[in-house]
Amino acid sequence: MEKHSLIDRIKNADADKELRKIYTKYREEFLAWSINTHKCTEDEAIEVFQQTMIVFYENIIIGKLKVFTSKVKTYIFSIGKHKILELRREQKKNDSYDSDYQFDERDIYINEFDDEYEKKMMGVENSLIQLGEPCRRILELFYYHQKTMDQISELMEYKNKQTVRNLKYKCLIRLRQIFKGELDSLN
Amino acid sequence: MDKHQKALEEFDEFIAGLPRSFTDEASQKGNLSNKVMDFEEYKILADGIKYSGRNELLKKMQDWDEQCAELPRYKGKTEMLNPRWLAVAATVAFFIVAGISIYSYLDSGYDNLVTSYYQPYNYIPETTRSAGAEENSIEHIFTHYDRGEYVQTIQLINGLPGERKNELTDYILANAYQAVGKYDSAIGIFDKIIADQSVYAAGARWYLALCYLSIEQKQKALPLLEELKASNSSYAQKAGALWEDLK
Repeated sequence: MEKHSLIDRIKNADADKELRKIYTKYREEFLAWSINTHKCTEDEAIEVFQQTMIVFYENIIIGKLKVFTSKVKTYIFSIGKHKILELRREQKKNDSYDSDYQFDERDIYINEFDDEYEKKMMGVENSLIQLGEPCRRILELFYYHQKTMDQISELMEYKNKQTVRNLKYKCLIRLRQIFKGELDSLN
Repeated sequence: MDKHQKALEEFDEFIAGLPRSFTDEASQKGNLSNKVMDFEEYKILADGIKYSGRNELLKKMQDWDEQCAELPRYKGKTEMLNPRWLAVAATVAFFIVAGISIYSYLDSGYDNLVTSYYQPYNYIPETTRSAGAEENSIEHIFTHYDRGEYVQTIQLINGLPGERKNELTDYILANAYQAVGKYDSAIGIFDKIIADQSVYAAGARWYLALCYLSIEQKQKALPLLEELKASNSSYAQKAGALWEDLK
């Protein structure tokens, strides 16, 4: 029941407080495990742990993780293991680029596509900074943290969910305008 | 509602996996008929907002790292393998382990105790309760509580008109607040239930004591447990056991 409540608290109450508790509780052990068992450097271990916590959080908010079938620690470490393997695959791929990799024209397209997408993501992020508050928070609460209009209304102390719906719409339209300007300045 | 706003909300539902209102036209063409924004553009914005949210969370984690900087940090294996540092590393390791243990103990406060004793109040429905309870009826609200949907329970009870609230709805509300970690709200209601000498007073004492432990206020929890321990209530035995654990 306590485990169920943890998911509920992350989804519905103070997610920061709960995440921070878990983060500080398992950080040292995770770093020691990834350094000793998986030969990560300390920087890699920290990065992997942070990515792991992001996956942990996102699995809860999108509803992929509804109830723990194992210990919280076991779940976190199994995500971590996948992240380390992902990192190793990426490094192996980069190493082969450096040494004996055979040039393939299709890779240029893939890399350009990735770069282009990344650039757009950074463009939206910059536009959100320009957009300012409360719009940025409303949009992030809705699209990233998967909060409902009711929850946003309660969290941000708005009159009701209709107010939030209208504001969210206006904020998205405004974000689009700023982002267009951002893209134009880049091109 | 503005038709443009409605159209964007169809996109929201679509990416949330709720495509029921997503029109055929929109899904086939990938465009909204009113041209406020095409889906590709919308998707980039939605992805970008998620990207930004994720980076915000990463920044928070980096802040947590900095705030914990006074804690002993893990040192790499290579450094520890250096013979010159072996003795130092062993000493440091001892202090790291001791430090982490002490920190965990202090930081967890009464978390472990609360975890082992806390079970959300199990509401036993009345036998006359109807299966198809109406929205916002008391039965409907308690169904949410039974399912562990505490946030909905809180919203629905708070939305009830005054005349429909009673000591049971108050008790359920306080329990729901406690279940989602809103201890201050829960404490206020439990206090009132005890002061009113409600039939739920014994339960309120027990859960109030657990709320106080959750916020590290052992001194306020102890008298409540002592009182329960000496009572004839069903909570007497576990109150006694928890009281012993705390002493």
